[in-house]
Amino acid sequence: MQGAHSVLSPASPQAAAIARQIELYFVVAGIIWIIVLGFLLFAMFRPRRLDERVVDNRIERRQLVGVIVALALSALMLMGQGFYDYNLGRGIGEARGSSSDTVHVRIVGRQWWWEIQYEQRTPPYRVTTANELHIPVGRPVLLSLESADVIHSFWAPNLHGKSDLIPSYTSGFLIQADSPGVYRAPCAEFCGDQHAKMHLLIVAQPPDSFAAWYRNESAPARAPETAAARGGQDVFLKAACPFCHTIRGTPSGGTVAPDLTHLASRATLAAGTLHNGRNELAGWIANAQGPKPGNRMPPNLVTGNDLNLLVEYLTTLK
Amino acid sequence: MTATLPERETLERTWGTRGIFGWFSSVDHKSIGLRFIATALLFLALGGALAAMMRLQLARPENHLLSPRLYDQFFTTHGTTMMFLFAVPVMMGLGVYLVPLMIGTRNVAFPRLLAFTYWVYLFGGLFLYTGLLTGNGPPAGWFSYTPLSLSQYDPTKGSDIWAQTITYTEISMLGVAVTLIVTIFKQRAPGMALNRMPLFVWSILVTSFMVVFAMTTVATASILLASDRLINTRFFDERRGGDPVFWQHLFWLFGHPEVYIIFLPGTGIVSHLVTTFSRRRMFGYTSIVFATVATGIISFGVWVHHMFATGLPQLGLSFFNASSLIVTIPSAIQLFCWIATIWSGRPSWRVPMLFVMGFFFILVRGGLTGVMLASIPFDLQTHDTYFVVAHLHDVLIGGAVFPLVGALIYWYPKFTGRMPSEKIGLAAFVLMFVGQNLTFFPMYSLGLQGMPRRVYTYLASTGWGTLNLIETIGAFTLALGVVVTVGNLIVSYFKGPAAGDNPWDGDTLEWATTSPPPPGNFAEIPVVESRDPVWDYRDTGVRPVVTGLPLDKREVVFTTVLDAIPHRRIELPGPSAWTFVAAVGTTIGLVTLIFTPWGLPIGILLSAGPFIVWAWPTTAGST
Repeated sequence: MQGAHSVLSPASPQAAAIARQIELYFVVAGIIWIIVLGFLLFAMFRPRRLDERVVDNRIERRQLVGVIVALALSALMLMGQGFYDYNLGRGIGEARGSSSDTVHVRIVGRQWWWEIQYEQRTPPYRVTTANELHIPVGRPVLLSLESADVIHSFWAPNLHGKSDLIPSYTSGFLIQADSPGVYRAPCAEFCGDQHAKMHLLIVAQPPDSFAAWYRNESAPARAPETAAARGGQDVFLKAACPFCHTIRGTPSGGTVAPDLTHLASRATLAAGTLHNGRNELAGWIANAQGPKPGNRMPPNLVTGNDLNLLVEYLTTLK
Repeated sequence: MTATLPERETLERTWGTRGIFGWFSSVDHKSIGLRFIATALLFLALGGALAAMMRLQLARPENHLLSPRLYDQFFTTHGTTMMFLFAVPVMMGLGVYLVPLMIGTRNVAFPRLLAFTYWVYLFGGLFLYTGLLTGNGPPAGWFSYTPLSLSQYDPTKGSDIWAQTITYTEISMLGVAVTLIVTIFKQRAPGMALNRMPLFVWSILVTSFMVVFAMTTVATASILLASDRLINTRFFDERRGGDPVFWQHLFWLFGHPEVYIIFLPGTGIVSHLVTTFSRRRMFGYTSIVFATVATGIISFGVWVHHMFATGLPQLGLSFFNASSLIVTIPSAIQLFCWIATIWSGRPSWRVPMLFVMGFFFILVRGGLTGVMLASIPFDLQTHDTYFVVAHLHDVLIGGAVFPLVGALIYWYPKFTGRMPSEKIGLAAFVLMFVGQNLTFFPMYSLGLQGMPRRVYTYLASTGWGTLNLIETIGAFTLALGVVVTVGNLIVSYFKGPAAGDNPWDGDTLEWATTSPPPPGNFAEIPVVESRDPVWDYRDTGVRPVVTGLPLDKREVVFTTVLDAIPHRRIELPGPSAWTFVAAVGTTIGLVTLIFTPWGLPIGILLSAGPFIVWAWPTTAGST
């Protein structure tokens, strides 16, 4: 997964343009660095004639010419960089705006997870999920970024740069993935104790599988089929869970914590930082403060056999 | 020295202080300067220890050495310490010590204000660490972005203590800056026109002006933040009509000049080391002065490059892209002039010069990556990643700490009268140079691999473990280099050979007096006829001096701002312990404020008394 968060493994036109820029700047800067240090070392080690004791005007004039030339070259390069920067910025910025096939998604940053709401012009109009953003390959996705508490920053290194999520502001940010894959987007603005464990997974899929995922995601949770799962649902509804979480299709409506309607279809728990397996899920419910101290989920709400039933139920929520 | 023994004894009686009481009441710029430097080095050690703990935590993925909360408090205190309690005070302290010597005067213009600023600085720093040790470390970052630093998200006393510490150190640094500006403008030795002023003094002058404008901005910000937290004002709280982005503008309007406030004195130091160890006068003196002033001004127009990701309009951002590129040009001028000076000089590989070489190697790298960060698309990918951590430590350690260590070794004989060990100095240089590169160079790569800043841990699956381990090893190497440097300074104080007045054959006036300088600095106030007065004295054997200044009073010569033509004699105030009492009163006020608004009147009442006593006019000659 090492490429899943690298600026230099671009998977979008924007990130590819910036990666080219980064590579170019590194080459140029490396050359300048070597030249400057080369001049410095030569200045230190240059063999000197015995009669070079006194600095005369002739030497000063020659040096003045040298300094002016070096300065002029620096200024030209900086101007060149300025134009390059401006054009690149504008080129990336022009991709903004919306066309008919743009996918609209509202992302709300929260301490310390990501709320995701698809907002479509056709039914189903709105679908809510968390911490895992699915996007169709090759289509522009216009993110509308907001924050419910402190400042966070959206950053998927393979796809684009950053855009902050600032309370009371809404900012638009356009991303697009050209190749299918799973990309990581760690929160990039320090947002408190668990800033380190606030990741978003971006799953770029071919249009068909995205459509299938979206259809499934828009449906309410499937009803429990086994006795254990039915018991688990009871546990969920009778414990404190519904105060914070929603499972659509059940009488639960909390909105301050991730929507769990299709929890089992997600790859991770704890905002992209824990594998979504049975043991991890049970451990998380028993004591979420262990793997992610300081997060808002209280420990020990459900224990013993209830915990087993609850996990049984939650793992059916495909 | 032509002064006779009785004259020196008179000078000693007039300007010296004795005993514990004398220590508390001292207004001598040399002892206050050294106190600033020593205290700043103490805070460097504390901030460094925090960094070492952070590096241990990050040495391997998903480590459990520090809790997230403790890690947050450590990196916040580390940044706050290094910026506010180490870098600026140590440079200003060096200025306080050196400026009066370099411009040939007996003391600074406002000696009691200067004494007061030291105590305020010391108490402010101790307050921050008292907070950390009592579990109230600030958890919101050295930049304390709102709303994370508002009481809703940080209900502890941590951010209150942070805000007050900032206010403390700004009061202190403002006092130092004003003192140095007036001293530099009015007390230069006769003949030292502005275009003959040593480059370090120029850098301190520009820095002091920057402090006046930048520190008032951040003091405003910290006071607004404190009042949002303590008396429910609503400057930054968006739920009640405030604006969290407003904080960022205020903070970075200070924050970027701050970088140059730290870096410019470093360039001043480098100019002196390059001149002395190339054994020729500085090439392009006027351009370097111009570049220093230009940097000071342009640095106030680049702050938004810290905020490219906040969603400001593209065209507005482009302005700051351009200004961030332009600010490079003055630095390039300085760089080329130094190389030209070395080129046509006869350079020698003494230890301070090694630190200049380290400065070039690291700073140029940091500068080039800084130019990259000026680009908006580039910045949007690397902002708030380890790329920026690498860049800023290359610029600040390469641009300020390496020259500073060079300076401590170079001026050590002047401070103490003894030579530091060059062998140990060489060992320290190697450790610091290797440590710096090992710690920070891999961070550029980590940033591009997607490692965000300010994370207390990272997942094993990221593959960042190896580079982080290397960095941790590098950090301890760097720390060892600093320890060896400080050890060198301590051991040489007892074991170093006597230095003499001018062991390095330096060209500026601090080398024209004894090492260490006597109370009152110069037996006779020198007269200056060029940029390198001490080389003139050496080459001509003539040392022109000012006569007719009474030695039994604390009198100095005031000269005109531009041409340094003498026009007045001024009697400076003498020692006073009220400065210490006033600082205690101010401290009680600032500490009480975080518990109750009554701290304001209490602080004013407690400090007003000492202020009045200290400023009470005395009749002539009764000091």
